Amino acid sequence: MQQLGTKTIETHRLILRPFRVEDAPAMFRNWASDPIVTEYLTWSPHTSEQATAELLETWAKETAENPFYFQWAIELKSIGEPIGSISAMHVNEKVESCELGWCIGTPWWGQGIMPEAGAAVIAYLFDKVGLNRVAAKHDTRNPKSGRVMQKLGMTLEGVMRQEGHSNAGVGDIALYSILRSEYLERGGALIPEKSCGAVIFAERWGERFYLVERMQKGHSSLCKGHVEGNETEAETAIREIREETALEVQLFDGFRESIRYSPFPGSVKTVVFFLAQAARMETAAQPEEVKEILWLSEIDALRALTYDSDREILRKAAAFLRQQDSQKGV
Amino acid sequence: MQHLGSKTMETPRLLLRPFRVEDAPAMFRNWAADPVVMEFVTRPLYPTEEAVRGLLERWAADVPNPAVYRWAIVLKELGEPIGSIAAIPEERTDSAEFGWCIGKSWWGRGIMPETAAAVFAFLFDEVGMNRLEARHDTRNTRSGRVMQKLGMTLEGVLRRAGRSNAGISDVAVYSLLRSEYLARGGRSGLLTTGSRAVPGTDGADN
Repeated sequence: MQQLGTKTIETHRLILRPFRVEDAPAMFRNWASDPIVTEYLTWSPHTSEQATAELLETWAKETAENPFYFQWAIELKSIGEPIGSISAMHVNEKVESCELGWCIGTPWWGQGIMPEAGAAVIAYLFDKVGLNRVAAKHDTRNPKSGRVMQKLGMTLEGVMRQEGHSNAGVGDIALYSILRSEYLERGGALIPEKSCGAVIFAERWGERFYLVERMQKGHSSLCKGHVEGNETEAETAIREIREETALEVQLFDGFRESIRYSPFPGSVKTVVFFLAQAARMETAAQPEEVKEILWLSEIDALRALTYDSDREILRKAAAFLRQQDSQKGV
Repeated sequence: MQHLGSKTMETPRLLLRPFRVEDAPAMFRNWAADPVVMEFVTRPLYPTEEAVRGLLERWAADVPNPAVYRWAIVLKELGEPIGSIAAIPEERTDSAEFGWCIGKSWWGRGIMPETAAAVFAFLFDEVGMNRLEARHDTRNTRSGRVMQKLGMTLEGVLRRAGRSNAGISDVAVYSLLRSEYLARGGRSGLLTTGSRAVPGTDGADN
């Protein structure tokens, strides 16, 4: 086990970092003073910012002195302040285990923030600290917390009857865990994400042109987006193309390529690409995400794309089309 | 919950009483140095009588503390301790977690169920506890059978969560609630679940 303590971890939407005494106003306002947040916790809501500041001083001291003290502020990047906390308690060096505990302000419930923070922390505890078992428990009257554990791929091990005490009184406690072996079997993909899209081309003047999106965030990429609801991969691709470019396309049979990468610790994203032909080249960019839509030759498109993984997909699509051409004797 | 300490109790075959430093030779001889007994115990082996004496000195110092529950299991016919039973209380939930062991010469005679039944009755009836919990390494099925005989319910198996002298293991968690104890008629009902009556303990409320 590595005595790493609480190190900063970044995810899509969050920065997980040690608390500072200056977090007291945000912590008090965002969650620590709210009796709804503390209902199934063992501590009482804070009654003053001063009380929060005093607690944060003890946490800062522990963080500085104890290499097995793990307590992160969950800072939401979009507002730049902490909205909750996540900690690994009861670190047991003999069996290399710990227990996670967390809480988050009610305005941020139901947005997948706890799974995102939990996945990053679990990945840190297995990969960096070298633990073998990470447990978490919840009062059975608080199933919301159990759903986070399920989303993280944790296994329900049992329900300890009348073993819990919280502000809601005595309660049954459901106990979940995930083992290092399970984490590794899943390739670290605690919260898998999936996007689908396509290499889109059009033919003009006997040439093929490929569609590249210049995104508002600054990079250039192929057209793709998140799977919604029960969509098939193809349905997602067609919908995303329509939303981002206003093109109606047909997908080619026989071409499906995927890439996998980890956007942040504990998360693995799969992106599936099809091949689509557009009959017309008139497009309309979805302004929230896409700055500009370009039709480029293969060489120019390869040059314009930001990521190697996108370039690789484009090369495969172009090669696929050339092979089709030769079969048709073009 | 009102702590009462390790009160001396009697059952048909046993005397349960606090440990004394003078128990060192019997404890050393009967179980504390036996790797078979200690295999699934989280405490290390006590390789010498001196080491056992050191432990008993610490235990004896605890005896006046009413929140400490630890008894020597004295077999009356032998007149010396053959094992130990202890419960660690958790104030916030009126509960306690058990640990026990007994010399292997006395295995398979229903002594642990007889011991635990008396201690359970004391903790429910007199101390006022609500939940009694016991855990065992899943490889140590003998210990699980004692929990079943006592009518405890298996709540779950915590994977790779325990370490004993046999290494890291899965841990089975059993409990008995006060409501279940009372529903079965209190102490006289503890060892009479189904056909699992243990010889020599019928009508244990002597």
